[in-house]
Amino acid sequence: MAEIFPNEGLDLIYAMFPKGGTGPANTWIGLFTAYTASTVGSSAATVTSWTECSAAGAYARQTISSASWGTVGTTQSGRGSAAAQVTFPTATAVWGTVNGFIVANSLTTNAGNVWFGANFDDTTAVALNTNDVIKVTPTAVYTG
Amino acid sequence: MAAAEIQGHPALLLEHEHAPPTLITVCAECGQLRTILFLRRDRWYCSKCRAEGAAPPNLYPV
Repeated sequence: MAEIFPNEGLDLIYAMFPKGGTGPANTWIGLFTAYTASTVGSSAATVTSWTECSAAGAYARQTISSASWGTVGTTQSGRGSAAAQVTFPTATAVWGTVNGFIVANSLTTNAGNVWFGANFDDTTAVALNTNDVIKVTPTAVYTG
Repeated sequence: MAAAEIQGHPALLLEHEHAPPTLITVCAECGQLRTILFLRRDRWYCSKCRAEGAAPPNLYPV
């Protein structure tokens, strides 16, 4: 699997360290269909690059509160953390074939800055059809 | 609002630095923690177990 903090995400990290800014209280998770099940966008990728699922068929970004992120631990490639699982609404139409998730600064689909993007850990593209219900565990790793 | 937990479903504890632990649901068949799980009836399955395991989708020849 691949993951990236694109430039917009790195800007956020710089704003907190070394510049001393405050991190966001909430972020929002969405699902992307661009790239592949094992590749993600480039550093320059912005929200339109990720081709998020359309805001139809009950698809909507879900909130991740900063407090829901778990204790940071060592992973195979750096320091990582997982957030509490997020359950998306039951799909009432086809959402498309999804390759992973993004974490953004806006609740609005296809809007805002994308701070982080990653594939699912089993690197399998997922066709989301009507009546599917999914649960996603947001995870992120700083590789140093 | 937190999603309701399914009683008896396998789960792991997610530790937090400044809050009580929360439950993370894992695949009902293989027990693996995966970033995406699918609900089928009252059980959550990873992509692989959903396709090949206890909860394969109904497939019909065309």
